[in-house]
Amino acid sequence: MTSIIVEDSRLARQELKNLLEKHPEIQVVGEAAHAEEARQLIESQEPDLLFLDIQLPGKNGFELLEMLETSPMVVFTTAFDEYAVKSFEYNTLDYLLKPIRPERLSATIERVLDRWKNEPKVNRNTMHAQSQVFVRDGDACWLVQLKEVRLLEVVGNYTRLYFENHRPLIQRSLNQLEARLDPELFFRANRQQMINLQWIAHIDTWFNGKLKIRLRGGEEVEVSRRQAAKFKDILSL
Amino acid sequence: MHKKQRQFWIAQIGGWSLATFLNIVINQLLQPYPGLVAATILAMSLGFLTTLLYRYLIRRWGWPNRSPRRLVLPIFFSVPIISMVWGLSFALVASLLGPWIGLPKAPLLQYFLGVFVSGNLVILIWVISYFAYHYFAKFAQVEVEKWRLEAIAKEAQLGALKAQINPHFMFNALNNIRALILEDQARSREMLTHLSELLRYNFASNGLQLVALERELDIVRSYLELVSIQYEKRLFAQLDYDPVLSEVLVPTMLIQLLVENAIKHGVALSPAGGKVMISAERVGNLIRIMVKNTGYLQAQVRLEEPSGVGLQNIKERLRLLFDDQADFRIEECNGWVTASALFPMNKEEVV
Repeated sequence: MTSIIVEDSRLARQELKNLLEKHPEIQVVGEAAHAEEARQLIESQEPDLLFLDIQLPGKNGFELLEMLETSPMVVFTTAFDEYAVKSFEYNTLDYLLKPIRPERLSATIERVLDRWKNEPKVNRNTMHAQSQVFVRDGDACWLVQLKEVRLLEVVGNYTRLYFENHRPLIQRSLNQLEARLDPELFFRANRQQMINLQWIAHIDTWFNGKLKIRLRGGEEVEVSRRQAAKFKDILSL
Repeated sequence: MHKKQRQFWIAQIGGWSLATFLNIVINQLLQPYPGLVAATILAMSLGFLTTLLYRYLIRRWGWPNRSPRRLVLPIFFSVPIISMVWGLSFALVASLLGPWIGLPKAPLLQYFLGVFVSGNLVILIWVISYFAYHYFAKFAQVEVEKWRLEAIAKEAQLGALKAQINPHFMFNALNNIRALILEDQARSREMLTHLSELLRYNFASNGLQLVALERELDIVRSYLELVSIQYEKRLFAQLDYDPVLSEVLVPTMLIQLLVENAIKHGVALSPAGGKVMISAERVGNLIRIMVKNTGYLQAQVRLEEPSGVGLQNIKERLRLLFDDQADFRIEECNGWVTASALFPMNKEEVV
């Protein structure tokens, strides 16, 4: 499994590399000292895992993740727990306190490897069911897999994601996302909304040739007449 | 309460005895009459008892809790009534006991008027003294309470103002030293020494101590050494001061906090790093400490930020130490942010 270390201090990077020597299954393929450097490296190396310091010069660790279209797995490293790290969803985001305890690092790597092995390897150029998106809403943040997202909705220039009982916004337009999302998974129901086909609970015909779809999360979505024809095509395939 | 009671009795007995004595002496000199001593002692004893009754009523009606303004009318009306009681009691007792104690024979009304007329003045003086003492005691008590509260508030403030080492810095330093141990043992040992110096200094300092400039700068140097292993080439720091100022007293952790703040905003935020310039100079009878960093003010002084609170703290500490003789400001000019603290150095004269 390949990884990149993003830390502004050289010694901190060295320290992490020293610790990782005991874990040959994690291969460090690059190091970055700030967000911009990290972004380029992530795009060129496509690592499976990021060790990411939250406090970075310029853009911080969260902002780096928000810049990325899809995110590799992430383990945050921080010297002091002031970023409400507690609010991270268990198992999606992990964090290590510096100086890092070797046992804690081992446990984290074990967990990361577990998830990594159970996931089919996908091309990271398009956004697949297993692709992860980093989402932040106030103090809370998630690394959410697209298969968990039922519905995407236009909110001005942003997009609202519906997953579990959360509805955070991400700073990308729905049109931008549509161009990158896997068409076998997400369907544009109307101008405002895209739905995850795997989350459909019930389909009703509506007047004017429209369709009404209820998702397993309870949301109801209207499919415009133009899109309804497309929708039937996809389903019949 | 016990003390107050005793004071009342001393004043009551003392006051009436004095009045009796003066009355006898003055009357003896000006217009002596037969039975003067007995009449005066009797009148004053009854006055003594009447004012005890008066005091009982005053306390029962809760007058001591009234404001002075709300006492004017009650006193105005009660004084003649109390004098009347006094006069009546004297008239009664004097007419009954008069023959036995050698009082001149007189009609009841004359006995009554004899006490009542001057009694008004005596009772008025009594009641004014009573309340004057009462207010004075209350005022003193309030004053003591105020001092006590101020002391508590100051102590609490100090606790909050106590400058503390930033935990982020601490753990980053420890993490860096861990890596340095494998790379350069001698240097990592030095770093541990710097870290202990810094911690010792911080543990020992409370918000309002003063320390020699040289001592504070020693700590700043240790701090700069420690952050240099975090930022390496990204940090350039320079210290510039006249050695003549070495012994001038400055508040502990003042320069240290300004430098920490400068690094946090001037160096840590920029991928390319930045510069920090520290200087101390004499301005007349004042000393000016300046810490400059490359960067912009914007993010640096927002009060909701921890650093904003830190700067606010510095201001407050200087105010507590030097009142209005100190000045603290933070300004931006040509890509540099300058924090400057100006305060008297006469606490220790420079030779």
